[in-house]
Amino acid sequence: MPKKALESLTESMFYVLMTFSAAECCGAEAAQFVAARTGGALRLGPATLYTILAKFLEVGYLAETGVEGRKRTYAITAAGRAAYTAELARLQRIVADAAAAAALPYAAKALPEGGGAHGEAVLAPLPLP
Amino acid sequence: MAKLFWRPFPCPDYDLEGTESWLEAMAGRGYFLRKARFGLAGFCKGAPAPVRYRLNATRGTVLEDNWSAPDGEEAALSAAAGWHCVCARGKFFIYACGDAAAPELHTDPAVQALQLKSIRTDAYAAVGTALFFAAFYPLLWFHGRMWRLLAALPQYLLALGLVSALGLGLALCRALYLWGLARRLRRGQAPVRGVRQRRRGLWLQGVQAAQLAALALLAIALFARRGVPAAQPLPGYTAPLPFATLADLAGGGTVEWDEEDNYIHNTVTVSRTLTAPAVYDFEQHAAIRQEGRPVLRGGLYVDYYETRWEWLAERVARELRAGWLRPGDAAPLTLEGIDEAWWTDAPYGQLLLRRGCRVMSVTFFTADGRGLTLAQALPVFVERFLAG
Repeated sequence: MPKKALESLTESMFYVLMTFSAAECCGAEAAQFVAARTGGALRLGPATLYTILAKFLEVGYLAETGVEGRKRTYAITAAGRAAYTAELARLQRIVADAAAAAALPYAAKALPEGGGAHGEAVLAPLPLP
Repeated sequence: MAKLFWRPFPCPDYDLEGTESWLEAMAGRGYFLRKARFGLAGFCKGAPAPVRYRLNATRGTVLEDNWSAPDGEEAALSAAAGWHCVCARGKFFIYACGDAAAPELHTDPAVQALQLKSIRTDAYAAVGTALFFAAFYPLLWFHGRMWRLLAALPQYLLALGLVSALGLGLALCRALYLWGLARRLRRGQAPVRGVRQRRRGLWLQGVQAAQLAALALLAIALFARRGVPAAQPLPGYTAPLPFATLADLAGGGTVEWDEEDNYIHNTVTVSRTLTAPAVYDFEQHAAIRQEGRPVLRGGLYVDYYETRWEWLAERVARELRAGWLRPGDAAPLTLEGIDEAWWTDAPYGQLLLRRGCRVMSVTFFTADGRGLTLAQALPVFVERFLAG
């Protein structure tokens, strides 16, 4: 039985799930995919990648689909895909919020009563010079 | 095979930052790790070179085969990135990489914190175990005899206490370090490597060595029974005793010793310790004859302590009385010159006397049950105790 799902995904974890949501592959291919996808900005260390793979297997986000010598192939599970989709939606919402905030004219911006669009507390705007 | 130079690790196996810092410093001096055994690191000598060393927590247990070497996939992923596993120490694999361009072994501190979770759990469990052995277990084991042991065998009790306290301290240090490290990792801070980290573990290693030495000494002392006084046969024992014997109770006479077997002994054990200048464990089974005929036949057991401090005598007295067959039946006595006195005569006579730092518990019976009673013998016991 898979263990409790992870509370949050780090950037490395998210990219690993992204890799497997695109295709079934092995650990080394996942590392190459992430490096290529991020233009080398994110390089997964072997211990980090191995720990993520082991953790995802443990919580049921990935399933082992084949073993060939020392190479193991993994595929994303429905739980893994759901976790990836939920995280993606969260990140898209953040980006959308940021974009919406940037689009507002700063001086004329009217802050909603008691908080931001999602009810979170917001800081009062600094007075313009 | 190249000659190995062995050096003790200056930090515990869980001290990831200290170990990595030290190994990198050693590589800078031309010593490259090859093996780790029993707290020692085996190095081969070469030209100084910058080598990165990183610890990676093992995922297996001692019962699994991924304990002594990383599994195939881990080794393959590491090798592809320029890292190789040198050896294992404790619950960690030690990886090395001489390629400065190779990526770090751990690139996500939060994931590294996740990897350390089982090691942290072990460390917290070790605190619980150490706490049990340092506090609760002695309370259970020594319950009812701790103060007597402190008076009769203080060196063992103190050594055991020291070993347990050191064990608890070390377990706490381990748990606190791993807790702090995981907290920093979760905040996104990578492990810190430097001179401070190298030196930090030294005193912990010292404490661990002291604990092992104390444990070894304790085991040797127990095995050799050093400081444990031997029982001496009463027939032939001529030194004065600070309490009454059967002969005193009979008002003098010749002693006819009962034959010894598994249950009957005529012995006295005398000791002098740091906490008690005089401790007697006396056991007598005999008949007292006057003018050829037996006037008293019975048994006498005496536990006598002269402690260095009155508070200890008070506690020893309480333990002695609690050890009686029916402590609830004991009744207090008021006797002149005696600070504390208790007695009971069922099923046989038991008497406890304490004056200042001296305390004595007596169990007395006559062979046919119709001889001298404890009430009759009481004045003699009190007189000899006060005179002693």
